[in-house]
Amino acid sequence: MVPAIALVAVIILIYVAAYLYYGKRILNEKVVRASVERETPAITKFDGVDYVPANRYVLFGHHFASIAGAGPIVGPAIAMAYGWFLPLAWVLFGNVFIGAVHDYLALMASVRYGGISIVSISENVMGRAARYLFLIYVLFALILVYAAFGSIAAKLFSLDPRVATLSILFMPIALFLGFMMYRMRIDIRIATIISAILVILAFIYSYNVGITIGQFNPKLSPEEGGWIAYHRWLIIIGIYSILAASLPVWYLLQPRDYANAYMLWAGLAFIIVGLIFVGTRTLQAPAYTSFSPNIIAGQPTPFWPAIPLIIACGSLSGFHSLVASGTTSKQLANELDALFVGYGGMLTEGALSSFAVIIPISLAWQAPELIQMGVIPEDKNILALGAIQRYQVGYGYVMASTLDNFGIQFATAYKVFTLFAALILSMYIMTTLDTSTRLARFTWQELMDWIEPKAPSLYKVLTNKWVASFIVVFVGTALAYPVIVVKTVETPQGPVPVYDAAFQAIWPAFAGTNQMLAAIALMTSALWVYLILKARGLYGALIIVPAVALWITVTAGLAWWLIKVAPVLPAIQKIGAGSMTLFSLVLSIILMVLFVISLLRGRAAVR
Amino acid sequence: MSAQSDPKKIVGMALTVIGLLLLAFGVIKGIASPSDVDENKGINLIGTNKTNDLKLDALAVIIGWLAILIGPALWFGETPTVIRKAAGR
Repeated sequence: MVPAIALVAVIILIYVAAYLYYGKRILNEKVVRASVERETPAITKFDGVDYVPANRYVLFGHHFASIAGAGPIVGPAIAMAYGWFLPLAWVLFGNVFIGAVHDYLALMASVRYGGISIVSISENVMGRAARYLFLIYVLFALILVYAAFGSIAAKLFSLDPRVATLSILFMPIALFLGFMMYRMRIDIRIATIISAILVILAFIYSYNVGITIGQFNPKLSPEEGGWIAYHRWLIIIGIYSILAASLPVWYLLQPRDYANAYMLWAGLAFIIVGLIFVGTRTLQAPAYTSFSPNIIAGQPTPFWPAIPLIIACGSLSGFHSLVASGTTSKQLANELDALFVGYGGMLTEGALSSFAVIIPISLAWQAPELIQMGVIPEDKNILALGAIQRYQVGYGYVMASTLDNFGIQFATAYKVFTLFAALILSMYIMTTLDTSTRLARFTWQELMDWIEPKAPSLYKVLTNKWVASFIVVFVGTALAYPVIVVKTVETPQGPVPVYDAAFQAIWPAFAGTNQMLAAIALMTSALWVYLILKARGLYGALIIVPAVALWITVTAGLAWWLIKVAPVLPAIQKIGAGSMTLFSLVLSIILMVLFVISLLRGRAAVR
Repeated sequence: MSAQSDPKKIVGMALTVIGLLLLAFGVIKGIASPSDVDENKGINLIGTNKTNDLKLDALAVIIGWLAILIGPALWFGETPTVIRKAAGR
């Protein structure tokens, strides 16, 4: 039986060692050779809209809030079906050796190429065909990100109107923070304190008042009016995303994400303090249950190769390369900040998965207090709950158990902190939505560049920022709009359909595409390191070997999904998610061939 | 302030002021005189979840929120000097 505090200490040690040795000494100093002397695109290409230098802490906030989303929370919560050891091992290993390397290199490669995306960098190392294939793939992946997260956000707002209230109130506070920092030139510390007080007041308000825009009864079909609120929120979130993605980054994105980072730090600090207080308790979850428990679509899901389809952002994610080389690289004021923002941001995300999800769920596994409150059904464990609920319950349980020591009633503290956990999740989802829209706009604009010499007027219309954002949001919303029947339950009255939001169908396609994107982006970065930075021997291998290993794992995972899972899914998922997954596989194989050709050419040139 | 940008600033100012007023109306109404109450969660509601009517307070909050997002951007327009300086402009 492992005490929680021992595990916390080991994880912190691993992260500190990884940051100082692997990140700083090897990647930063030996491979990339970052220098304060080299000007970044935020300075050389400053435009006041997308290319704008940011304070490293502000930029960390943006980068972290954009990459976090629901991934580091939902994925590990689902993977707890393996027990706590395998998910934790995958988070730590993937984080240090793949995810953080991938994010940092994508950021630095983009910075060195003037702030262009990882996709355009592929043209420099793999040729023009690779660029267009990669662009189509990325646009496709970003629309899936938007659809999946938009669907989750709309459902979250419909389920708990308090989350909608704070998400709405948070934005004007963030704008005011930006106004204080940039217009009134108030010291950043004072501006931070003022906005923190406002956020606390907004939290207290939201704890008591929810905003609702219609009925939400997921047991009813859309035709019976059970999903009105979901559909309305989806449209409102779409309008928000178009606006937020088209506004200058300094106006909303930078201050909002900076404030978001404080929510993260608060969330992480609370849970670490909580884990220290309840640290002598042993983890109640088994370390290992089975190598192949029933997870995806109720099918036996082998840890290898399926784990990347379950745990995404907490370990590694291709979406991060798009953020790093999309919005972050255009705001990096100094090359030396990249380690903290890129490598550090990814380690923090892994810490979030470990401390706020895996360990709390393991502690709350079958807690008598939760069974007594009716949160966990009797004779069952926390796995009886949905993934988001597992996270909320675990977080709330650790915090309530801690505050119980100080005479605060368990049930009250539990209620406050389960809401707080939901709010953290919502903040990240909203950020991911407008960042993915902005990135999809960039991708769309790059994809259309061949039209410019032939029809400049058409090019101007198609690449207008409002038009481009609208196209992306429109397609994403259309994908997220349908409510689907996920299963049918037999009752004495006959079979009853169980409805859920579209993310249930989109998630596997999103996860698979996203992880394959990570493999392709890491291969692109590996080629940049090998061919351009001339990092050979051990340093080159440290990047190329994980890239290829990841590609093999994700390819096997997607093939497993197509063979074992797709056939048992309802038609809409089989056709929709199945065709997207097949498309991803074909593109990734073509890109792998281009990668091998480029690598061999590079080696031949060296000889 | 150029003559060309004046209408933009006026629209921005109007959107900001209207947005703030609408948001304040909805937020205050949520405490003082809520449209509905969620008995399960024990909270006041802006809007209602009992019918599909879009209540005035919920509409005010949402329209106010979106107006505040775009209003100040039009009103104050150009990139702040502090950011230009950071970029050496």
